[in-house]
Amino acid sequence: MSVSKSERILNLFFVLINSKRPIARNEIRQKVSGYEECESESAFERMFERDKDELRNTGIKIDTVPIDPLFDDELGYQIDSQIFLTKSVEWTASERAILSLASTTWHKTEFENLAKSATLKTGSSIKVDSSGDLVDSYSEELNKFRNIMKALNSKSIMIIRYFSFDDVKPKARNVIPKKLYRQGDNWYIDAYDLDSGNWKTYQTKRIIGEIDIKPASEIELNLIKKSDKTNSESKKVKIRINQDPFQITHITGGKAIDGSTIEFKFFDEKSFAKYLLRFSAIIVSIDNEKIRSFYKSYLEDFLKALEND
Amino acid sequence: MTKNERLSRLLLELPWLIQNRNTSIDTFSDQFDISRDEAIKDLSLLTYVGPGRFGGELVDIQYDDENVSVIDSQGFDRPLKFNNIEAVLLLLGVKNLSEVSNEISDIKNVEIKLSKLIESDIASGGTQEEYAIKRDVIDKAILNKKQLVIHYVDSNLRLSSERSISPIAIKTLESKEYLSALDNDSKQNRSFRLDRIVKIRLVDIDSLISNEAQDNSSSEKIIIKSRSWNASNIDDLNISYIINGDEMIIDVELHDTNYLLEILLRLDPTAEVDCSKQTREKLKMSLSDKLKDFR
Repeated sequence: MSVSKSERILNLFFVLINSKRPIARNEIRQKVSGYEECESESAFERMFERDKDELRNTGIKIDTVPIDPLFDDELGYQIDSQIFLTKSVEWTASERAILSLASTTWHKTEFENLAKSATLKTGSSIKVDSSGDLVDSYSEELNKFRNIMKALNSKSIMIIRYFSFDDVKPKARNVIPKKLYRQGDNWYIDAYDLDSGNWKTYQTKRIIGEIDIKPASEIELNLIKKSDKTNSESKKVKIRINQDPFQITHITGGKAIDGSTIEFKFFDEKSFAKYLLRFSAIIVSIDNEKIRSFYKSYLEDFLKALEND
Repeated sequence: MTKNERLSRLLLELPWLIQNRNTSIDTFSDQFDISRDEAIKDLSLLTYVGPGRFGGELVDIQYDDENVSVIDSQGFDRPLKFNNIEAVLLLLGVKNLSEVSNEISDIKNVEIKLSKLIESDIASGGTQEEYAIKRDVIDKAILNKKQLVIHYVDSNLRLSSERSISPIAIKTLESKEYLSALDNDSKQNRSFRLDRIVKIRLVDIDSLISNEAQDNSSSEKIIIKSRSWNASNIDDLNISYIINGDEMIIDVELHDTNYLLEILLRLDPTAEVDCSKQTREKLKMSLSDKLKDFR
């Protein structure tokens, strides 16, 4: 009986995920049910390449590694289950219900199917009968994230109004987002700023109002390719504090590098000095002359204002 | 449906069936948005696949007209990891729920478990795990009416030495959790933000009763008005404010001048502070001291 394509690809997946060592092509041909139908080596090669592509399209990466670590002339294939399977997590019934409800957030949006598949991966059930009640009731905050996701997916330009630490009014910026992620309680976007030609990090809650999206031109997309992330404008500064940095960086941000120092990344000295004011109770020294000078000048301004009141 | 979509679906189905033992065919087909016939075709195909060609090397799923159960999944017992977009969608969905629901505690648990499943560059899970452990200890102490010893990062980011407290309850305010507790030394009720508790230990001593305790430390009503404001700079402080025309007005009861200074430094030098003379002098002195440190 002929083996269907889906069946053959799944067999390939099972052979690779169950093997603790890389498997050579000829062994794969013998083991995987479906490849025995190939009449020639070249027919097998073509079929195997297509099947690997199909698996890759579902998000599974097949590693190609030498079978013998001492000789790299024979390659084998492997799927590392540690990398591709989730950790084992037990969900209670009420937690599954929450996950299910969370996925309905994306009901009737372009992300509905992806949210469903994520929910099914947790073993939760999708509310099949989710009625129209939820439709079009996205909060401003959710719409913001929806537009960021849309721009990420389509590599489009986002036109945002962004409020930096030292701004008194939000400024318009044109950025192409690359990654959306969460750190602590805050969400951030790494994006290419078309105006300054640099990679920057934006905190989503500092984006004010609606986000407009427009397609990026080929030239603009090429700019991103040329300017890899190492061209980022971000610089580093070490701040010495009078507390244990390892206990508080989850609040302050930055990275604790020893028992009294936090290293921060920053883009603009003046803006960062203003950000540091909130930590003034613990700051002992700043190893950047410009930031230190702005920081002092801010403190002087506050003192003058209090003296004049 | 393309073949690739079917393959993706098949890769979702098997782990889902393992996590939903003895589900019905109807529920299964509903979940994957397929007909009963398609569901049976998928189940039939899944029983033909595996790392070998013989019984014992094939996935074993038993199903009849009503129920489905997986006997042997051939090592594919957990789902594939979330891709970046899936992870972000779930996290944002949970975040959205936490903003509209009162069941913050349950939602927080989901968020913590979810973070464990997500790549650390999308959501840092370490902090979430520590948070979960902390909350477990507090829950146990509240349940068993036992005392806790904590180290706390106060509003001025100063790490306290050991504090002995009798926990009362976890409360939620603006999606942040706070522990209300009796300070065993001062016998006053205090509120501790959970993310600022950095070390915690349950002590096998009964909690003190907090009925008589009151937050009777002296506080002062402060009003701050700013025409040059940036609300996102004070969001994480969880202090309430109103916007009146182009002016932001913060009206708070404060115990601590240093905390008032922190709020002020997040605003603008032009902000007007309505406070006692004594507090203003303290603010000035504190700022002068900070400046001296930099000369």
